Amino acid sequence: MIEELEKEFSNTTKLLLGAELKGLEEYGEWIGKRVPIPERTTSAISGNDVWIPTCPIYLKKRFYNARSISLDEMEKLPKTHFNADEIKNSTIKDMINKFIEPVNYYCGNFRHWTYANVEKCSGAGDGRNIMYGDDTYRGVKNISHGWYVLFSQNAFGCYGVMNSSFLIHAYNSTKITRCFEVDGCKSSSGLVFCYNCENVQDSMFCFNTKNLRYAIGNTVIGAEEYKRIRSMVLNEIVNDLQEKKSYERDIFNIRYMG
Amino acid sequence: MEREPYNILNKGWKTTCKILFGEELGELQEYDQYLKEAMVGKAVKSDFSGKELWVASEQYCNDAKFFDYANELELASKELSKPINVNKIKDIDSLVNELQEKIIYCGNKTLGNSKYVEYSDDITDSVYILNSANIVRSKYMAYCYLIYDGESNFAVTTSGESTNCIRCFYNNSLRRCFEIVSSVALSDCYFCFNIMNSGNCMFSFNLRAKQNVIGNVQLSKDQYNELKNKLLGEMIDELKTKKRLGFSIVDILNGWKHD
Repeated sequence: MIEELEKEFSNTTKLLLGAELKGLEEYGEWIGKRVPIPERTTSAISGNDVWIPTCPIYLKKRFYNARSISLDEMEKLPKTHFNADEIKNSTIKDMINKFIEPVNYYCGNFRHWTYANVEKCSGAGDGRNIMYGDDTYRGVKNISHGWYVLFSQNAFGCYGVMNSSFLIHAYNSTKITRCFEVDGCKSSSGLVFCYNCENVQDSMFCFNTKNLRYAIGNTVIGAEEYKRIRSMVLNEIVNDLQEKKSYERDIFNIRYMG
Repeated sequence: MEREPYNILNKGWKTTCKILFGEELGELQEYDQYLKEAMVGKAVKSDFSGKELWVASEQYCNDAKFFDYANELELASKELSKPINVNKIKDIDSLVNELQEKIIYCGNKTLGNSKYVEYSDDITDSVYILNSANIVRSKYMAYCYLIYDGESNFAVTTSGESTNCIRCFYNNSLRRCFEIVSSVALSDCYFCFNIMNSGNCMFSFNLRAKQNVIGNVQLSKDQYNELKNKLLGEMIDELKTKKRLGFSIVDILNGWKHD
């Protein structure tokens, strides 16, 4: 466990939910429930852990059956022992069944640029404190259970997020901050359970709307009333989380009734 | 797709095929089953019109409601803008009950300066887009997902700044490529994995700064072109006959063997 990441998880929950939650691994299943987090396989060269992606962009197939190595073992891969004469009359069948056999290795644990404290990631770099990350790059910091998270920090259980910070369960969103359970939002802050919102601040349960503040259900209700209801909602969520380490309702399943 | 935009997209497909394979392979719609394997998202129906929509995420629950953002926003807004009664809100369940008709998601989100977009979602500043999701600043794309600054790509996912590519997954800066995974800055490559800053490579893996390589075997330019034409000839025959190949680079990486 990355100590700094653990601390930032607590800081982020305090900021978003009003209470510090402790134990990132304990909440791991809840945090990562909507995110295709990397899975572990074993290096064919060293037997060490190799983390590989599970996201649906590879024809919805995974690489678990692939002969895998870690990126940092690339130099140890065998070279082909075939030469130009041997392959010159090759058919596709020959190529696949015979000639690529010595060199056909899948490579996990991708790392690019500089990085620090990166664990259990299939692809990460230019950042620090990243765990269970796939395609998490470009100035990222304090990311856990993330897929395609770029230029962002303190993001837990997110995918498709750019230029954002202090998030739990944010998806397909850009330039958002301090958001919990949001999908398809842009240039917004302080959102709880919001979908397809742009330039919306300090609002909850808003859908397909723009330019609001202190709103619930797309209705502006004013700062005082908003904060009262927000506090009630977050208390309920925190109680469930502290007791069960999970919360069933999310932005894709808002109507869930326990 | 409407006839005229489809014709233009189809022309882009044929051009890309000619660039990659040296000849056209047929109409874009003939390859629908082959190319749609790359699509990420989910087909849903508009609650207002019953029209089929594409949404970028597969996560929505089974009873989720949807509308067509490009054509039905005004209709949806009537419900979305109705005021709520805050006095009825005692807890989250009662809050959700109060909001029932407002909890509606949407497909066909076409944003910015986008035109001629069909059966797609979350498309920004892009033109001639079909069966795609999360596309930004791109043109002439079909069956694509998470692409920015792309042109003439078909069944390509998470591969920014790429042009004239077919069935490539998780790359950046590709030119004229087919069946490529996890590679950067390639041109004229086929069936490759984890290759960077290279050109004219086929069936090759885990290489840097290479030219004229097949099966990781370094060849002269003439040797490369001769074998490339032979292998491409096989691919062309199968594509024209069956409208697909029976394998992908993903299958090869998973140890698939040819019959």
